[in-house]
Amino acid sequence: MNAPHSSARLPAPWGRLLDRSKPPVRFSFEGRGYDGLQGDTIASALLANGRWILSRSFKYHRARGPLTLAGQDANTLVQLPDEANVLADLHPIGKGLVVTGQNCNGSLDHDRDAILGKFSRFMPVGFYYRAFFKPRGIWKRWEPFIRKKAGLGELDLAFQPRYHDKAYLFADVAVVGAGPAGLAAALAAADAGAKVLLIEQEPMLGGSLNWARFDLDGNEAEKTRLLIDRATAHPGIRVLTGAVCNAWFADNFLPIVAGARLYKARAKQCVLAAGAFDQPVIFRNNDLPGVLLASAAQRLMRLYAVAPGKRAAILTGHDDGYLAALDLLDAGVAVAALIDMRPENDLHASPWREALAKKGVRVISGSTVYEAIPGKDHGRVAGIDVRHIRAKGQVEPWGEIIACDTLLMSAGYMPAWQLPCQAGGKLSYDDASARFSLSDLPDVLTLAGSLNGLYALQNTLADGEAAGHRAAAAALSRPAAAPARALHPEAPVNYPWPIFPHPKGKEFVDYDEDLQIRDIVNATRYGYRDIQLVKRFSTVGMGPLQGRQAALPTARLVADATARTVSETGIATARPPFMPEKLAHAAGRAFTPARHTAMHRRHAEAGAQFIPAGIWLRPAYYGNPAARERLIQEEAAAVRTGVGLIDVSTLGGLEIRGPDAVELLERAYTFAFARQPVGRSRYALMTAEDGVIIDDGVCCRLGERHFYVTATTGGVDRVYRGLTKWNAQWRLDVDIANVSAAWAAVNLAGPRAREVLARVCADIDLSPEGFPYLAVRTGTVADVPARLVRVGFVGELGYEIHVPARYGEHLWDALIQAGADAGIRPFGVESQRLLRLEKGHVIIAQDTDGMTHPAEVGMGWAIARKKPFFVGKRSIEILEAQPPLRKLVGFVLPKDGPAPLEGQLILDERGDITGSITSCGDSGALGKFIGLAYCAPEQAVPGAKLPIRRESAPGGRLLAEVVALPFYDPDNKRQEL
Amino acid sequence: MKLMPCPLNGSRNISEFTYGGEVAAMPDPTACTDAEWADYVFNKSNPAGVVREWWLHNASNYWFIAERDTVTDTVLRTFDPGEIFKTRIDFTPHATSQENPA
Amino acid sequence: MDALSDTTHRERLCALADLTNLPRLGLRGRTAAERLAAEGFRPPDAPNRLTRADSGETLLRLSQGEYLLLGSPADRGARVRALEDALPKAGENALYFLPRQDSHAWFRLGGPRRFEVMAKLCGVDLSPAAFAADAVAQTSVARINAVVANDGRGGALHLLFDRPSAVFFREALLDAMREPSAPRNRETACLVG
Repeated sequence: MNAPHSSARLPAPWGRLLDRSKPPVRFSFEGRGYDGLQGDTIASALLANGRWILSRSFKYHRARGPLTLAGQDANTLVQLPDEANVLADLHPIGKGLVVTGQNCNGSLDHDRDAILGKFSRFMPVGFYYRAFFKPRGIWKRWEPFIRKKAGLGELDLAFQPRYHDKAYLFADVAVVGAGPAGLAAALAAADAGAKVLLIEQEPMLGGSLNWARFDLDGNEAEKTRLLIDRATAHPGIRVLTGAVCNAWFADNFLPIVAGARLYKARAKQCVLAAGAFDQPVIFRNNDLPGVLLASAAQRLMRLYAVAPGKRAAILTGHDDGYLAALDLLDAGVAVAALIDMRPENDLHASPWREALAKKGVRVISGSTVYEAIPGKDHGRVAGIDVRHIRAKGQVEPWGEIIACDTLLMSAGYMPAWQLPCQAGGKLSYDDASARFSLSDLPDVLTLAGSLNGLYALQNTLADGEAAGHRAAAAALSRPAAAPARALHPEAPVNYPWPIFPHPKGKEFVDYDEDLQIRDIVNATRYGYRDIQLVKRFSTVGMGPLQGRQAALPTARLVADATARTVSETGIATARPPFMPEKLAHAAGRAFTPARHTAMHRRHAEAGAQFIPAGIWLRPAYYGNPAARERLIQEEAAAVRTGVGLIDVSTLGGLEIRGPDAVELLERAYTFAFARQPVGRSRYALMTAEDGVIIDDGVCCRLGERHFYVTATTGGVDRVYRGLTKWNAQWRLDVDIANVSAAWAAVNLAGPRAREVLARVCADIDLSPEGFPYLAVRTGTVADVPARLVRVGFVGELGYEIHVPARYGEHLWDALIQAGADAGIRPFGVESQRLLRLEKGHVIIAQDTDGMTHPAEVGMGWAIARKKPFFVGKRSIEILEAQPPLRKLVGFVLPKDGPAPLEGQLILDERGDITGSITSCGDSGALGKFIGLAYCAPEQAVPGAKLPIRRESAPGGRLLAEVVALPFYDPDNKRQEL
Repeated sequence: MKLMPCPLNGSRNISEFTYGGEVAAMPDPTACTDAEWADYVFNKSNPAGVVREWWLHNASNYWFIAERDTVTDTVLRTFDPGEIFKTRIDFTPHATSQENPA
Repeated sequence: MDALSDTTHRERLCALADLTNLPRLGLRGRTAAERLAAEGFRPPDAPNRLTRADSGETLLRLSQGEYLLLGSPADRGARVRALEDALPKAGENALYFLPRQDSHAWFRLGGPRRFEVMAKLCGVDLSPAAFAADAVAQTSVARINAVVANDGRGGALHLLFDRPSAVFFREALLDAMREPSAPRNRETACLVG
């Protein structure tokens, strides 16, 4: 078989996809060179060279050739150097392309593991689950062996992905599938004025018009192909070829994979004209190379000018088999026989039957192939055992052997049910007529053609046109003026029971997973009656084929074995994606927003190490990471002893203005603000309706009706949304503006802060009396407008200075320069966290969790209990009436022991967990490890021992000491300087 | 991806929006029982049928109300909250409170 | 930054100009439209529409009561800067000033391929057929919130978005402009300013 054929191609017009004017393309398969033509796929080029074995099957390593030749089966999976599991019947050849087989031990032609097929009796369905389940741990021993035997393809670990991209597309009407129905729909919709997106999986428009035969002389398809030119030229139609619509998502959101791009299309209306899948007949050895679907043979001839063999037989359950036989004859292939499963008296006279008779082709009715017989040519089919059908699935005990090197089969068609069912459609099957129907579809979706059970060309065209009209009218909000659909009667296309069990098995229901009839039937005997459970137990439909060919025979077998109808058993769900989708498609063009403060550049210049804070980047500390701990201590010491500068621009900022500004704050925050003087700040604590702390900040009163309230970096969006949502109900006369991004801010802190500020701020009285602790001032700093607040977050004399973002860098530069001779040092988030910890300040969401109410963290003082209402007030009252469950306390540990870690558990004397550490650090100012932790209320007594679980410590615990907060400067003298 | 019709911005991908919970009437916090208050805070009615929900259009920070059928997951109608919340809500006859002397 | 020099790149397929330093401001409140009219601007009739002043300013209406006024490159925003200086900031008379020059960065995307570039970043159809010449969309672009304004007369899209995200956003836009399917024989991306 591998002797180089004369690469005999059929003459044009066979080979629609080929460009014979171009020189041959040389590539290799399994180490051997082959020539193909421009337009060939790997599979078609190999078949043209007489090379039929493309792969080895998953379980039994059986030799496999193409089945669908449409990228709809696993038989053509091959290996490229940088990619495994490539569909050879879709992938184009290229000069120098190196292709190898997969899943074989040795070579494709001589696979030592083919012996596995002999043991299939011992590898029944569910074999792995059941055989390696016990004893415990046995799977670990078998797994490497099984993986090696069962794996598909090899990964190239050095693979570098190409650029993958995503883009949105918008259309009035999206049409999926550009066969006759899709073309008619697209043209009708575009003619009606709709903007149409036409999506076709194949490299050219036309679908079955490109390869199928609809009439005696084959003229019908050629005439209808004019639609392709019209659609291509139509200004209202955007054509995507080689593009797979991989799913249907709500409201016509369609992911379309086209090359290295993932389109996300949104269409007002969608027409699905995805066609149908040719169905195999289930008989012994229906997987031999040379046995293929009738449509696959037609594709091979019409698209690639390759005759499938020299002497062929056809096994069919409907009239299209006769048309395929005519194609074979036209291509010069001898037709040994046409075997029609339908009984003679069901057959009606047809022109093609007469034509076959005239050409001397033997038609054997009421019969089937019972077994395909392998020949010496690497197992390619050499003959077929034809038997008369006696009853459903049963044949006569004797038959006739007919010699052939090719067998075309087609039991009927199953509509491409995947996308309609993803849209909520219900697939029904009428057991009497073997017809499918789809119902319960959303308004934005219309089916056309074979999805509506129509197969006659004029019917699919009429149906497509009507669908296009309907979709365009709906998309353009016009009254539907679709022409009445005049349909011709059609003969049934599905033979109801094309399944013929053989005592020796190997009648493949699922080619991907090597599942035979008995595997499916046995699954029902193990008690798996539900089709979804049969799928999970047997893995039917889980391979690359995803049940395109296996779903219907499986449903029939399960229905039969459980004495139900196919409509009752249903078809296994087909989830997205429709075709395999690369991770690169999902990963391509991802956006990862990041926010930089106005002073970011200056931090980078100063050697800042950045850490993310939400999507902000903030300096953690400045300098070499190797010296991290030392640098953090030095930065903290600079603030305690001299002056430091930290960028706090990430703080949230809300402008609350208007007659009801005070009222809004009174309701939204726990504290009282009515009597807050202009020019003063107040702590602002926010609780949710359940009384849990959700944010805090500083509320600055700039005017009678004007407040500037800060919020936490991570919490401000939630706070802003919460305030606006409340006021959508309360209807207070107030304006709430989120101005977080508009203000750049620093905290200038340390005993020498006033001295430094004075050098750049002339219009504000900075004296302790003129600008005391908690006061708010507006003025100019370094000649730019500024809001200043005296705050104490780090526990030293400090000024928070807010300026419009455009001046952020200018402010930073001015302060660094003004503080140069005072030894000013920029400090980062790490030292700020340590400094605030020394002051016992909690950080919301670090020291509080989703249950923390104010009393638990000692914030009862921040509740104005006499206010008539604030969000969370009622819940706090209820919570505080209960016995407390936990308290946040400060603790210290000596420096000579191990350091505590955030998240470590607090225990009671019985060893039960009472809480955990929320913050801890190495306090340079105190010379101790310090931290905050939740613990039981009875443990929260200064001087008490607090056991911290640490397995490596003696007794499994460290004993910390509870201390009163704050750790540092308990009288708060320093911040009030 | 679903579409959501925003009364201000038109039909947009649902990823442009944030869900804000069911529209629920707050019981009088000074008069209701603990159980009534807890029911309001923690329990959602989640009916099989039409429910009124808060939705926020993120980019414009616009809150609106959607009527959604939870059985079919269809949004039947969206509208400005002003349709329901027509007048100012107060918690006492005197809008502003006594300040806590603490 | 030079707000004007990008006009020299008109012939390019897509040009991105950073207008962040050109004055702009927001106004909100019951009297906002009245005030803007008194200043000689024409407040759009409906939200998510814009008008252009003869002197080159662009006025966007973002909701029932919120406006965004973009300065004109012709006077380097002087007229809007003067208005900003004159406006009260504390919210008197139901007129609330919003510091949009500081809260938002401002890019201008011009050139015939601008709609294709935006289709890679934004799930809203901004093609000329769907997005009118005076339309405004408040939406998500490259996963951040943005105001997209179609200045049909100027042949460009204005993009206003969170100022701290400007570095990220510029990279996202330039990457979309450099995309491989674009013609390679011409420079498709340039950043001015």
